[in-house]
Amino acid sequence: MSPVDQYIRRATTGLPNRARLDTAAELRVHLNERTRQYMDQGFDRSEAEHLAVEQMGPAEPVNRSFLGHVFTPRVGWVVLVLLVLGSGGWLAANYLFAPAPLVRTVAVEAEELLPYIGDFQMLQVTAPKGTKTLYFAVTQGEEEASLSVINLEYDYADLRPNQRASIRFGVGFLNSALAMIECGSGSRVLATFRGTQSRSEMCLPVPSTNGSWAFLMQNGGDNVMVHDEWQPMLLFRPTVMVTELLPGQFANWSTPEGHAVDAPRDTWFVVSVFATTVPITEDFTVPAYPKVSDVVRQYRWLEPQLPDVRLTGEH
Amino acid sequence: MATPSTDAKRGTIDLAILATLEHQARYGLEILTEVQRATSGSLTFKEGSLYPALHRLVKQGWVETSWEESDSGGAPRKYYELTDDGRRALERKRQEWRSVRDAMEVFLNMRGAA
Repeated sequence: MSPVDQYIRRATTGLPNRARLDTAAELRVHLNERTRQYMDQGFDRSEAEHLAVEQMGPAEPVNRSFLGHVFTPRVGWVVLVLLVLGSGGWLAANYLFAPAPLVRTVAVEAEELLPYIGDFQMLQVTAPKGTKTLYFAVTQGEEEASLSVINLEYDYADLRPNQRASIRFGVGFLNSALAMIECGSGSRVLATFRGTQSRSEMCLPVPSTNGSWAFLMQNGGDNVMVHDEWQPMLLFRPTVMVTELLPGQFANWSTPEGHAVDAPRDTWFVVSVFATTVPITEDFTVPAYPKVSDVVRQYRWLEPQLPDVRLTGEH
Repeated sequence: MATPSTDAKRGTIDLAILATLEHQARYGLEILTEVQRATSGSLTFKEGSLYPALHRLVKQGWVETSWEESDSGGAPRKYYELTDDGRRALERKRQEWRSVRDAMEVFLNMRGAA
């Protein structure tokens, strides 16, 4: 391609077809005439063309002026590629690879332990997309004991599209010296808390704070959260000390002082989670919370660990 | 946004082109040659910048174009001719230029005298 052709192509690229042809023809007439003038001065054609093009100056500013803005095709392509990459990155960051909605047990962090000295467990719930309200329920035996509500529309209003509300929720027995309420004999202070700021306390007729927690996991892994369905997560079995074992009763452990056995099942309690797309401001009645019998029925794998289930429940 | 230097340069080229077309239609290279001749080579600019300036003036309605056969028998040429709006624009720009020139002369004379 001759220097003249190159110059014309670079100076007119990006123009609408009609304007491009008209401008190219005009530039070609100009360059040919200049070339002829240089050839008349003794230059050969290639030298004359080179000088004619040099006389025109750089083609890019001319092209920008023709286009009426700074975006020459090359700059335009670079900007377009950057925009596509940037948009793609933003879309990926905000709409793809969202975390799976699930609820799982997690290790308790030391700073979350500080205000609480007792026997407790913690849940981390990543709410499904669209969740507006989250409920945590505690059931003791077959009785509904407490219900905590979290308004995600308010507490997590500024989440990006691929972010999900992820909430740590703890439950356990407070040392009575740290409790704000006082419970009668035979009852213990059960606290539910979110982070270190939100905490509520209630008295539960639980014979002992010694006991064991069971994680109610499906297939031994995380529980998948779905809307409008209670998901039992934790089971607590209190322990009582007896001096002698009754017939059919099994000891969890024995010491010179006696035998530790599971307390009656009506003192066990279950912590469950419920997510819904119904805003907290609308009338909504959550379904009945899972009871201990529901959990034992659902999680048959508990039975080998609960030798007294048959004693207290289903014989 | 254009810088002042770009505006000033553009204004100078526009005025020179309009003045060159005041009495007759001319084609691109002829306009360049006439500007250089009339200013004894004092006013020069890259030849490539002539055509965007001409297109700009056409867009403003100050100049109109027509392709005409070359009187020397070569390829047809695109001729530029002032419109009535172009003549009024030329007069306006000419007065602006003179005002600036007079003001600068007074200013520089005062500075020189001080």
